[in-house]
Amino acid sequence: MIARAAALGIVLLVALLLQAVVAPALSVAGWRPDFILLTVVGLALADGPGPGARYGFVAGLAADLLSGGNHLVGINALVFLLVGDGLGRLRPYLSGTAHAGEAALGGLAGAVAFGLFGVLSLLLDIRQFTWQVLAEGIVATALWTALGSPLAVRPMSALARRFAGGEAAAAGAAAGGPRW
Amino acid sequence: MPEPRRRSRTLLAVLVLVSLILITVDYRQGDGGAVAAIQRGALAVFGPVAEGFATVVRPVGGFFSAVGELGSLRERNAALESDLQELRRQQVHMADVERENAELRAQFDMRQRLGFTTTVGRVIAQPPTSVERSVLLDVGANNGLLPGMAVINEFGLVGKLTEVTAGNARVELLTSPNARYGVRLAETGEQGFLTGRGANPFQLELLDTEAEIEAGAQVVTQLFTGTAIPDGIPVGVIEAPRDASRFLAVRPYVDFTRLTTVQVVLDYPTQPTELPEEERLPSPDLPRPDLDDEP
Repeated sequence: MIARAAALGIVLLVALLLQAVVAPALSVAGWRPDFILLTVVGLALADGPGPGARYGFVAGLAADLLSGGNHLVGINALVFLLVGDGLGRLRPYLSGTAHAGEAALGGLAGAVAFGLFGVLSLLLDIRQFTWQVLAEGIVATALWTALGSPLAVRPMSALARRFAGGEAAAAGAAAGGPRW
Repeated sequence: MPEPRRRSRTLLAVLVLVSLILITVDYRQGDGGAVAAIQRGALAVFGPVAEGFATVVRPVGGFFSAVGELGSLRERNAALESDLQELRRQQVHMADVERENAELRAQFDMRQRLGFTTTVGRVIAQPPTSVERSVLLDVGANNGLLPGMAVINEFGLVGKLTEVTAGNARVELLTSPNARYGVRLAETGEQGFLTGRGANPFQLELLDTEAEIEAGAQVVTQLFTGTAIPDGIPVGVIEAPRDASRFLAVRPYVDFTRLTTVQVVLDYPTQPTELPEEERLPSPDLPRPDLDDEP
């Protein structure tokens, strides 16, 4: 359990560093990939809603804490928590390891994540969001996450198997082996 | 409902609640609250780690960024190259304008000092061969120029006009071996004739072959019959004291290899070679000495 937490901690740290350092260089028309969201998507699709939600909460909280004083702490935690849980619940509907399915769910997760973030920001009046920015952000984040999800699912799935303890391990044990 | 699923939903609800509490607390406390302090602490810890990571991966990120921006970088590069060329051209032009401005100011000072009316001529052609000692100006008869007029610059005498067309004029430089000018030493008034010797110093032949001349003595023009060269224009300095030779070497003030603008003296009359007969005044009838009174 501790080894799994430590491994996920390292994954999160790498994702935070990539987000802070590498993501700006990959920016297209001002929109960059969200590596933290990709790890949430990857773990939720690999390990189910429970681990996805817990990891999503911690990852979102870390992102909140490192986002600077103007950012309201808790927003990303709530968004990633809900995305991790929701995506984990959709995991059984993925047939096998179809990349298209992972990309589709990743895209959906990206759109929902940015949409939730935008709506919460508008409700709390903490961002100068416009509907156009919100629409652009939803599309861009959906595209980036759809592209990155098939790549994120592989290593997160391997990690979930290596450090078993999530629902995938339980399901795998019940079925006589890991599903992925 | 199975126990694990209920536990999972409970955990989800708790985490949602924690998130909402965090949002509320941070929203209410603002920058001075505990959550904001934790945020600042997290940034203080993460900052150096991110900086170290950036040192390692920045070249990689830069590569991807450059690949992504390749098209726009090429356009920007081309635009910057164009700007650079334009700035270089302007810089060269500015330096030329500044030099010309300084030259013309100095020439204006010289003109004021000598009290002439002049016109500015731009040297448009240097001699086509290294042995020819003349330059072509961009001004001519349309600007009031006539053959024989003196040409000066800020340092002194440059030469005289030998050929004039409507729009251009040729200046025979002082360095030309064909040129011969009446000059004098400014300090002593010793007079003589100056001859050009190409790239070598001028040759000065004084009328007084035994006068003692010191090195550094200044040579200026002397009015001479049949020429329009004004009096007192600086020419050069004596290079060495007189020795056994009857000639003296004179180093010119003017740098004839860097002529760009000159002044043509318009209002100095050509000195007569002979007095016109009709203008001569009759000699007064002076009383002759009475030789008859002599014993």
